[in-house]
Parts: sequence; C-alpha cells; structure tokens
Amino acid sequence: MRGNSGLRRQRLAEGETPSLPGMRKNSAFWLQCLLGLALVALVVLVFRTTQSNLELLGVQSGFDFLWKKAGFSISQHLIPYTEDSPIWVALAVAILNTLLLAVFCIFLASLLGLAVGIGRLSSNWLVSRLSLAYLELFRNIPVLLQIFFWYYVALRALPSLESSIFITDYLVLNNRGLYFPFIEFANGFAISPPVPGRFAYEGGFYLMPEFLALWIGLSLYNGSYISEIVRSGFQSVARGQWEAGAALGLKPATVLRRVALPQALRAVLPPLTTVYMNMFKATSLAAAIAYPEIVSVFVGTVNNLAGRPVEVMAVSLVFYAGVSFLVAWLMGRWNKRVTMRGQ
Amino acid sequence: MRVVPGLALCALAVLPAGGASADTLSDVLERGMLRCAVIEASPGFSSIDANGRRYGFDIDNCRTVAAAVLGDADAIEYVPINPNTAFTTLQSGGVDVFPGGATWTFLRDTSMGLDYTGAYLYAGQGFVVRRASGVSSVPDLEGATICVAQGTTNEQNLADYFRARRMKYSIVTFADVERGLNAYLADRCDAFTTEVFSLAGRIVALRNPGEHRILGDVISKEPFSGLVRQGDPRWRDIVFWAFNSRLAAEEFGLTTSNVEEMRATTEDAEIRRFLGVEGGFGRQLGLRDDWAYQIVAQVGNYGEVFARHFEPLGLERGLNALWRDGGLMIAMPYR
Amino acid sequence: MASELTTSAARQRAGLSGWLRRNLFSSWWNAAVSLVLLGLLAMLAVRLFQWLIIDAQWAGSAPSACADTTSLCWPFVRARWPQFLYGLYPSEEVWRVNLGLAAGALLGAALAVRRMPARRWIAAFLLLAYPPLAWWLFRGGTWGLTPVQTSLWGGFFLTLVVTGSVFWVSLLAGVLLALGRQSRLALVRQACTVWIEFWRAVPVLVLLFVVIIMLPLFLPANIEIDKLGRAMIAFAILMSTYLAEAVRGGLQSLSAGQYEAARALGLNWRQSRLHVVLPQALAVSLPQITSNFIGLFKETTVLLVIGLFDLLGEVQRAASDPQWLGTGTTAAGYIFVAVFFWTACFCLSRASSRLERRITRYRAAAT
Repeated sequence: MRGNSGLRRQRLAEGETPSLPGMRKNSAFWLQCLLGLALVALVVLVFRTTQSNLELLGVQSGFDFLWKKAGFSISQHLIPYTEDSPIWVALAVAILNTLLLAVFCIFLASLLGLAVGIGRLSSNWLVSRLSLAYLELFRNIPVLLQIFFWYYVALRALPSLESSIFITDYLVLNNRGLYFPFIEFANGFAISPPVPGRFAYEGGFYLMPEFLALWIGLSLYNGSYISEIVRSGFQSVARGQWEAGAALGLKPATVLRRVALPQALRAVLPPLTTVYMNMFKATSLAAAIAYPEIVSVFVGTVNNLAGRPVEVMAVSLVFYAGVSFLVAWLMGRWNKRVTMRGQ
Repeated sequence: MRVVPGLALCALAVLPAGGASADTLSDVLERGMLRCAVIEASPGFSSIDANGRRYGFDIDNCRTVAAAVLGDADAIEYVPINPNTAFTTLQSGGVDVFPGGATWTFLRDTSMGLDYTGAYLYAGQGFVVRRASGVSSVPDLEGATICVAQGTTNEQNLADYFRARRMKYSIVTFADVERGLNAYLADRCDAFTTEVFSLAGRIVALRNPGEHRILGDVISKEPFSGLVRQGDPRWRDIVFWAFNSRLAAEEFGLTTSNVEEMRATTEDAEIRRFLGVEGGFGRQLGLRDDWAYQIVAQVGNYGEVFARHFEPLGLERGLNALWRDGGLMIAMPYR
Repeated sequence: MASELTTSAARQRAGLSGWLRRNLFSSWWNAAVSLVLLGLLAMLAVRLFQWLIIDAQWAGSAPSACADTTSLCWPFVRARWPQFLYGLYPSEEVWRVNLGLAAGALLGAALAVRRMPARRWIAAFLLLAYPPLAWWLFRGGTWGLTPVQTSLWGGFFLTLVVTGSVFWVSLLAGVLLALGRQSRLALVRQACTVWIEFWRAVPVLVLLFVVIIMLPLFLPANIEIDKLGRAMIAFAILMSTYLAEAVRGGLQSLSAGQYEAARALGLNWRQSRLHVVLPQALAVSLPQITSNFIGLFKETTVLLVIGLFDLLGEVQRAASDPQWLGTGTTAAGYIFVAVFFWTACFCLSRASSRLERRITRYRAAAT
C-alpha cells in the first residue's frame, strides 16, 4: 500500500472550489457548527462507550504499568536491560530495535536502489536487463512472503554451530546469527571477539537471524522501488546537462557528481521519503517472525502482561505517528533548502 | 461527564447506551450457537482432520458447554485466536468462552477483566531438547537459546527460573507455540519450552520423535482453566458446572454408552438429580433439566475425554486422575 | 543510456553480431562486465534448475513422498491444493465460491471488451449489485443457503474477497475524503486532512491490531463485528486515505476553468462533481489508483499475523503440519504463492500502464 508523496504539500487553497451560488456565508457557518457538534458528539459517545465497556469488564486503565517490573527477557537490547527493569525501559529497548532495523534497511535499500537504478540506464544490455529483472521480480511479490522466504527457507539452511561459516576469522555466520567483534564496556574499552561456547558463540555482538531476514527482505523489496526513483531522477536531468558537462571537458564521473546528482536529488527527494517511511512502517512486520521490535514486544508481550489494551495500543500509535511527522517535517525543510539552492 | 452541547445530547439520547451485554446465556440461546475461542493446531488439544473437522481436548471443552447450553454439542462457531492476543480478544468480546489452556494466575484473574471457570487440567512447564545436545536437566541449559510462545506464562516462568538461579540464556519469542516449536526443530534454538501436555503431543506427532527428549523436570505448575468475560456470574456458573459434570459423571461411573440406561434405571438420588430426572437443577442454571445428561451422552465423562485425546500421545492421568485414585480432580456435589 | 532505442536500430543495421558488439562488448570494460555477468547468470540458472526441478521431489501426494525434508517438495502443494484455494470452506458448499468468483471474473472480462453492448449497465451492476450479492452467496444464512462462518474462509478465496471488498469500500470513501479535503468549509477540510495525515503514518499491522482489539470496546455491545469484518475495516481506513491522496492529485490537476465551466452551465455542486470534475480527476489518478490496488493485494498477506488465513496464511498453516514439516515443504509452498502473486501483480501493472497510455491518448485527442 503506497500513498503518493505527502511532502509536496501544495497549498490547500490551490484546489479549492470557487464559492457556490445560492449559498450565503451565514449558512456555511451554521453548517459547520452543526458538523462540529456532530463530531464532538461522536467523540463523546465513543469515549463514554469505551469507558463503560472497560468498567464493566473490570479492566484497569492508566499508564502506571510503565513503571512496573517487566519480568520478561528481550534477546536483543542495545541498552542495559534485565527482567528487573521497568516496562518503560523495555519500551525503549523495543524502540531502539525498531530504529536499528530501519536504519540498516534504509542504508542497504538505498545502496541497492542506487546501483540498480544506474544499472537500468547502462549502455550494457545485460546490465540494464538484469536491473529490470530485479525490479520486476522483487516489486511484484509481497514483502512479507519475501521475509518469510529468507527466514524460513534461506536462513534455516545455514549450518549449525559446529560447522559455522567463517567469512573472516572474526566474522562468523551460522543458524544462530551473524557474529562479529564488538567493543566491550564492562571493564574499560576492549574489543571482544566472538568465541564458541557450548551452545552458541559468546562475546562480541551478533545480528539474529530474524534481524537478517527482515533486513534482507525489506531492503530487496524497497530497493526495487528506490531503483525506479533513481532512474527517473536521472532521466529528469536533461540530456543537455550531460552534454554541457562533457563540452566543458569534465570527466563523466565528475559530471555525475557535480552536475547530474545535485539535480537528480531534487526530483528524487519527495518520493524517496515516501519509500523510507514505508520501509520504516514495514519494520512492524517483525511481529510476524520473532524480532523484538515495538509491535512484537508491546502488542505481543506487554499487552498480555499488563492487560491495558487501550494504553498499549496508544503508545504504539503515538510512536509511529510521531516518527512519521518528525521525518516529514525534517524532509520538508531539507527539500525546501535543496530546492532553493537549485534556483 | 460534563455538560455537552445540545446536539451531542440529542445524539446520545437517540443512540443506544453503551456497555457490554451482561447476559451471555440469552445471547447464546438467541444465536443458537456457542462462540468458542480455540488456539489452532495444538495436537491433543485442538486439531483439524482431513475433512476440516475439529477435534481435541479443547474442542471437547467447547462441545461440553454447547451440549449443556444448547443441547447440541456441535452448535459451535469456533473463533481461532493467537495466544498473544487471546486475552484482549476475550476482553473485547465476540467470544463466549475460551477453554483452551490458559493458566490460572493471580494477575490475570484480578486485572484482565476475565473470570476463570475452574481448573480442568493440571500441567507444568517442561522443556524439549535434542538428544544429541547431551542436555539432561534444566540447569544444563545455562547459556542456551530457548524458544517460547509470546505473552504466555511460559515466557515469564522462564525468566523467573533463570533469573533466580543467575543463569544466562537467550530467548526467542514467537507469536504461538507452533512457530516456536518449528523454530526449535529448525535448530534456531537449543530448547523449546511450553507446558508438558502440549509439548508431548507435538513431539509424538513429529516424524522422528526419537531424536528429541522431554526433560524430566518441570519449572512451574500450570493449572488450566476455562475463561469467560467478567461481569456475568451466571454464565461463569454454567461453564463451571458444565466442566464439573464430566468429573461427576466419571465419579458416578456414567459413560456415553451407559448414560441412557442409567437415566432410566438408577435409584441413586444424586445421579437422578444430576441427570435431570428429579430436582430441576437445570432450571436453577437457566438451562434445560437434561443439561448434564446431554454432556455425558454427547461428549462423555472426563476420563473418556482424556483417554480419547491424550492416551494416543502416551500421556498418563497423573495429577489429573480422580481424587480417589490419587489425583487432584474432584467433582463438586450435586445437592 | 536509452538502450531500448539503440537496440532496435542496431539490430536492423548489422544483425546479431553487430547487436552483440554494440550492446554487450562495446568496450573492454563492458565486455568484461558482460562476461562476468553471463558466467554468474549461467551458474545461477543451473543451480536454480537443479533445485527447482532435478533435486525436487515430484511423485505422490502423501507426506511420505518427501522423505528428504530439505529438498523441494512439490507433492505438498498438490496434497493441500483445496485448502490453498478455499481454506476450511466446507467442501460441499464450495460451488458457491466458484460461482461467485466466476461471475465476478466474467463481468470484469465483459467490461474489458471495448465494443460490449450495455457496457455502462454492466459496470453499474459490477459496482453496485455484485458485491452485496457475492457476499450473500459466500456468507449464506438466508434464503435457504447454509451459513458459512467467515472464520472458515481462507486461502486464495479470502485474499480475493478482502482485496475486492476493501477496494470497493475504500474507493468510495477515498473520493469523499478527497472532496472533503478540498471543501470550502474549513472544518470539513481540517477534519479530513487530520484524518488522512494521521492514518498515513501508521503501519497496517499496527492498525490491524488496534481495530481488532479496540473496535469492540468503542462500540456498544449490541453491535458485533467478526474478525474478518474488523480486519477489513482496518484495511479500508488505510486504503481510503491512500486513495484519497491519489484522487486529490487528480483533482489538483484540473484547471479552474473546468469548475467555472460547470458553474456556467448552471450545474449545482453535486452535478458538477459527478459529471465534470470526478470523471476527469479519476482518469488522471488512475495509475495511482491501480498501484494502490496492487499494493493492497500484496498487503493482504499481513492477515496471517492476526490469525486470518489468506493464501500465504494457509500455506504457512499447512507447512506447520508436523507430518510435512521441513524447509523443502515450506519452500515449495512459498514458491507457489510467489508465482501466483508475481503473475497477478505483473499482469495488473502491465494492464494499468496500457490503460494509462490509452487515457493519455484520449485526453490528448480531446483537447
């Protein structure tokens, strides 16, 4: 489901219709009053019904549960977390996990999209056809199915601990994840490499298979959309611009970097933001496999623990809406700057 | 509520007042169908055969209530739910009863807007490991990766157990038992944990059950009870006594095959009251007098139901035997 | 650049060898890239062929046919075929599904024929009468049809029902929202804008959970909506905001002259919207609308997370059967679903771009 770009926020007035004959200003005022009252009535009604439903069920309400002890474990936490931590820390852990996944996906998808988008324009027939094949293959298969494929088929085929794949000496891949050395904070700064334990590698840091599946799946799917954006962005740069660059004696790479890229960026930014936002929203699919991001931890575990459906749902909604609005605002500002500089 | 503008008040007056219905029994009777929540694909508890028919211990629980209330054990609309949304689905309605293996705990009973209808099965939380791993008891799992279903008591028990012993472990939480077990089978985890009944049922059903081992120790007690929405005491009573009737039937020696004959011939006053020959006990619950007879005739007594679904999986009665056989099951008297 | 143009030109000029030289081996660098890619492609093709065909297990239809759990297991798809199509829909009632879907397909096909007589009436029937009729046929319960609860619906059938019904409702709601967002009444405009912008920020999965869990709490107890209904409401909320944005783009592309002309003809608000503004706006936003439709179609797979079994959900459910369990089984099921979705989405997007070209031509001719 993709909306078109919400960032090119044209003035609403642009599409406004001229006032209709036979309708005086007065009647419009009263109509709005009436509508406003109806709206208020609806909100009050829903609120009252919910309240009485909850009361009848004996469900407690309030956000005090956020300060209770969590009592459950989360396998991946970027900040210190134990079962004794309060639920709000679990929420922070879940949010960080969501953001980590989103950042990784945005990075890989952009890289893929850029490569494939430029590939589409290649003079090499094979390269451009393969790029097209990638686009058509990944764009037309539901992303959840792709994630499932990576998780349940591809990553399940990885070897177990004993026969782990060593990509380099310290980069180990097996069916428990991708292990790599990481800074240890416990006693000063030290790099701790992964070492085999009884059940799994210990020390260092690892990306769990759930994370890898989501990362690969979301990036490949959204990369296909980004490649289209990149291609049309480059095509929007007039041919004359390339020729002018060449006539000035610039190398093609320089023309690309100094002339084409800045112009393409302007055309690319609004739709790119939409894809990024879609990708961010799609991280919630993690709830379908077992990656502990916000939907999984909050709607899955905390909801059953705390028994506060309304509050738990509200927290999740506010998180997604908040991030979306923040990004929309930032990108809107950046877009304005890029556009201004171009003129 | 404070003062609301005129129009809003009008709207409130016209529309029906809010509030969940507190009379489940008449809803069910009117509908002619019992809405029963089930968790899908749990061998022994809830399965679907090749013809799309459901069978299992949970399914027979649904049928018990339907037989008592509607006189027809098959007048059921099954509502499939996931463990991680089970409670909220129940709270929010659309389901009359959930008899599907929810552990009776203090917090769930007091804060979730739900009522428990009495324990009908006693289990404990166990672990399955690969034989090849050499793990022979739960403490051996130090440092292991363990798969578990999300939002269950199992997830919390696991945390409590390992934390109390300062043992390290990592956990992977799946939306339901099935996905968790499948992940374990695919070597995503070193162990999988859930209550032993469901665990045994699932391991027996595998193609190579011999490769796995269910550890001897359990880390919790899991008394299973039916669940209904809070706020309808009569409906809770009905579900409680419907389950109780199967135990009573076993104590009385009533079975599907002899109940018809016993109803005609028995002299025992309690059995006569139980089967609705005298005393009008059904009407006390708002049901027909033959409500318990219908349960025994259509579903069977507790022992029959247990044998039907758990014996093929190699499970013994144990704690679930009648009190007089050394178990915990006791029927409340009918007088 | 512009490889498609040069392709045909080159082929005419110098045949195959010339074409190859031009498109694959135009420089040392290009030649190297082409050779490496060809090598990789050949390797991939051999591997895929081996995996999909040679190493796969084909015969039989029982779990025992797939003794090896890791290589691809096609008998699984054969054995579970009816479940993939209809879910748990009772087999003696399946004719109703077939009849309903066939009628829909036939009506759709009739619409696609350009010279069809009474095309307008067919369109009206398909849009207004068909959806409720089909629902009645599938759901039953009145006029002698045995009721079939929606919890039994599943597979391909459920995917189509959800996509179709949600799209039908959302298009209507989307048009209204788009018009509302342009309303002269500030309150309507603001309300629609806030509604659209808020829901656009929320992931479909979260909204599904919210609606499934919270809707019953918002409603009085005497109104009950089953799980499928709630899921479709969630989808419709999102879809209608997306479609509203698509239609708004179309509305904004119309010149003010169109509005003025309509007014000059003495048309009132409803007439001008219905006969002048909307037909043009919808035509402009058609590509957006179809891409949203395709998006919705793919998105229905999310239903499996909340315990409704669409096509992917049924495959997932069948693959967790302990008798079938294995990566080979799962992979076969996924490939089947992927081929289905890919074909459908690819054809839809091709059809949509053809339609788009036709409309562009038509509009160009009209002005």
